[in-house]
Amino acid sequence: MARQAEQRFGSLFWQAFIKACGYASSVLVLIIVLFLFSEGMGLFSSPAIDRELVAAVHPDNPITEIDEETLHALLGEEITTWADFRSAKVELVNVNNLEKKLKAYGLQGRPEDVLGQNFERLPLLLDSMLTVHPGMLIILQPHFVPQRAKQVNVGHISLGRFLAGRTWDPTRSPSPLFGALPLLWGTILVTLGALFFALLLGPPVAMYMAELAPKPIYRWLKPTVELLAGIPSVVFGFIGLVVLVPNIQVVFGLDSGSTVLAGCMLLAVIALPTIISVSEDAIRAVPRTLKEASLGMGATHWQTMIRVIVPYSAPGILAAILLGVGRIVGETMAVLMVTGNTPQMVGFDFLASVRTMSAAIAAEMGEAPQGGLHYKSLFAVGCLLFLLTFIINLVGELLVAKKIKQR
Amino acid sequence: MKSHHLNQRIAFGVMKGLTLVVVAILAFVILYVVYHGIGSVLSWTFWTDVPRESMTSGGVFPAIVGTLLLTLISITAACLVAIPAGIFMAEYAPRGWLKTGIDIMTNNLAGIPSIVFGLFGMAVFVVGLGFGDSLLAGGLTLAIMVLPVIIRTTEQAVRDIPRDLRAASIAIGATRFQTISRVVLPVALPRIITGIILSIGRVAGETAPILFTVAALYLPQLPHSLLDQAMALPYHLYILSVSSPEPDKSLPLAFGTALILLILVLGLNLVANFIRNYYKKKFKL
Amino acid sequence: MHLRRRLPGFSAAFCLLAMPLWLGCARSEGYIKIKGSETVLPISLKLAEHFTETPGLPGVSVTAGGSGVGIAALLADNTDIAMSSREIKFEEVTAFKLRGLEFVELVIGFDALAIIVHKNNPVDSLTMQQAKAIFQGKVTNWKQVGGADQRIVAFNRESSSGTYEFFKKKILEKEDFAALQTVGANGELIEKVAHSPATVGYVGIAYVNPRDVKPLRIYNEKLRQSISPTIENSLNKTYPLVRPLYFYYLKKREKAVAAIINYMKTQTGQELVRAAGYPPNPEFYRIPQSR
Repeated sequence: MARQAEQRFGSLFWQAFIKACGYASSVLVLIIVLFLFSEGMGLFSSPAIDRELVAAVHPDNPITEIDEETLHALLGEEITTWADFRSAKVELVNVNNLEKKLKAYGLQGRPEDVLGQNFERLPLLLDSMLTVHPGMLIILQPHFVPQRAKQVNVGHISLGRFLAGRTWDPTRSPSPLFGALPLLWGTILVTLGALFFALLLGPPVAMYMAELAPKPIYRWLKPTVELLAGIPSVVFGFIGLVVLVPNIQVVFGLDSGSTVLAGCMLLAVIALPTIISVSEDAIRAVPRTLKEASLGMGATHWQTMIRVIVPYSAPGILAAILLGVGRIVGETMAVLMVTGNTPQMVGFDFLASVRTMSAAIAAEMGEAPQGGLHYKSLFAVGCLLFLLTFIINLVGELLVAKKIKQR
Repeated sequence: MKSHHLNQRIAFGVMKGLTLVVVAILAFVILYVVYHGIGSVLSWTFWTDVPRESMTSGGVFPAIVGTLLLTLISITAACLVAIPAGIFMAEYAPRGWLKTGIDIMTNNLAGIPSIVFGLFGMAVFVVGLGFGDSLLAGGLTLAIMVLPVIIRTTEQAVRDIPRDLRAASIAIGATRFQTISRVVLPVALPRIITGIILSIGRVAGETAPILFTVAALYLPQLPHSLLDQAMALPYHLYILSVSSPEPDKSLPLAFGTALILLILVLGLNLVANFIRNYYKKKFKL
Repeated sequence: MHLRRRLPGFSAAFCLLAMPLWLGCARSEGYIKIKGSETVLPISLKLAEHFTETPGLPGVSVTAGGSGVGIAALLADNTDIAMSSREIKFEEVTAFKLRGLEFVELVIGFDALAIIVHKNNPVDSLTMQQAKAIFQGKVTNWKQVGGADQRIVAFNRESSSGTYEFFKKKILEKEDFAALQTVGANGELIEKVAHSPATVGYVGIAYVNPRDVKPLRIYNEKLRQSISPTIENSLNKTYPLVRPLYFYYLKKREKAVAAIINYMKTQTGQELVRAAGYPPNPEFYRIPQSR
């Protein structure tokens, strides 16, 4: 009796454990998404200036809110006068130009001497400056803003500007620019190039392995491809750095070999194993009867391949390519090491250097203080990267699943 | 007719050639690293010494230990959850839309870029749970990364067990759980182990998830607790190749580190293949 | 019976699950963490080596990132010492004060920031204005600053590095850089400049290796002559681009980091700074009397 009870308890425990693990791991994706997005979306509910700063103006200035667009125009000195405030000239004061402004105001010497060790005399001074220049816009820490000045709300960073902004300058002070378009374009450009090389090699090799390779050769080829999949991407990046980059520099006569092209070549190699093995499975799934019918009609082996096998396995090969693209888009270390890391819009220039989304996260996260705008913006880039790979992989998986069902 | 055969010959030739290119790429990578790294790797101190003189001489011992520890932690944690989860998927999961949903979830987990896992690990383990930069935070991050791989291997292995075996077990009066634990699992185990071994290779070589969760640039002593930072081989290779004060002098060390990583991955692949082939033969008998 | 046989399994599983709890209480104090600027890295590496090799001294871990990260980590209590190649910023000081933390600053040495070019570049020296024009994209050909007729390719550093901020403050007078290729690490920069004749970049003097790259002399307006970036010229204050290198630590952790801080204030500690390739801090360093 007791033994049976023990046994029963044991099996119940393990069954419960198994179920718990099953459900836990299936909600893991949701948890990851939750964390990623809660951090990343924080960017879009933050004002467009550094979190420890406020903007303030003359108390008579009617403005109460500055949106992101206007703020950048003000900082870029594209707007120089207040339209609805006596057309007063905008006089910008922030951490960067404080020293210069004080000098212009007639104060000589080091700021510490003029303002006191902790700048405690600054609010008073700004107060008197405010009388002289009513058009002043102060962007500073709240405790430096004079009592009299009126704080204005700064608009939130908008999703549109994040997705379509063409400048990625996350540490610009006082208002950083989070235009992720150069990073997104960097990823797209590298992916397109890598896809070109991967398509050149992947499907034909898969076809050879599935249809032509004699058994002894196949027994060597299969592990070779698996081995290629196993090599860490940092090793590829290293090889790229010492072999590809210097050679590209010499061959194309560039000033720096860290280019999109180098990234494309490495990523193609990294994506190859996925593309080859998934396409190979798809090609092998073609029913023997179809092939034999074609051959029986007098078609050559090659004609059968092109006219029968390829069309039949096309969805599977497409899925393989999509899964390969998923791998390329998310790859980090190799890209970080060879593409030159410049967040710039380059068009279709494969010899320029870019910074991809994954490389931006890897390169900048170590330097972004926690909880700041830069930190949040990198999570937002992570969200974008996640969504991109999620969609690509989902379509790929669905294609594979459909194929299996057909069988 | 002739031209068809000519076409075929050209096409097959091209395919063979492209296959050779792929093999040549792999051969080049391996031979290049071996050729330049063998000098470092053959010296005993490279394996046993700490990095010296601003990483221009000495060895990579702390990085080797760090990578081994990270692998141990992450694989243990991953297996603890992933094997039961895999059995669940194969045996217990209710069929229908829920199952499809779970399948899609796991498959997508596998497709998430490793750097995103790094972000997640940093937000949750390093900052959220307060582990700081530590072996524990890095290990758990890597564990989550390989979770779907082990889940899928286990699920597939359990599902591919011949029906006769289960039927026989049920027929002699075993319960469903007894069948799973005494019959199905032992037979599926070799394939699960193969999957785990390949995951080890993945974990040991991955850099992006450990960038902000564990890696120290230089820590010439071994970690004392799971909350210590550690050096790791892939990160060390990255550092040696991009941020050494004297690139010329650290290049041989970088090649040596790359070679150790290659040996590790190569070795694990060989072992996995051996197990796979051995059991394939055994179960065919 | 079976339960008993499975007991080891149970307990192993339990231990693994309970481990994080146990670890939460057992945080290791086995080593001192230094984090931050890559420019200061050569000093910290030498320091860590010395501390590891000398019995009785605590171990040291070094993590890179950038000056800003080091200070942010200090603020979050994630490191014991923050290394920085720039002075702590005003907003950072306020952040410490808001959290009621007090920090201590120590100048461990100096850096002569060098502007480097390919070793075959005929240009030997620049004025500060020329350097500014180059990095703002206003001068685009070496011909314009006395060199060969060749396009100028300037490399920038990661924007959160202290070196970047110092350069921006001192050379660009806080104006913006042109869109330049960014190089993440000093070693990578040296490698790039060494292999391409048109390039120019800026880097801490310890990273300058005269075999690979040529550091330019900078025109000193007071002395009306160009001065090359050397340890001697930094110590006698004739080179214009000299900046202090800092260690920051929390006052409440003073005891824990005392071994390192006190060592850095000794002659041997300062010789280590010099051995790393940087000008030592004359406050703690007696220049050997050679003359």
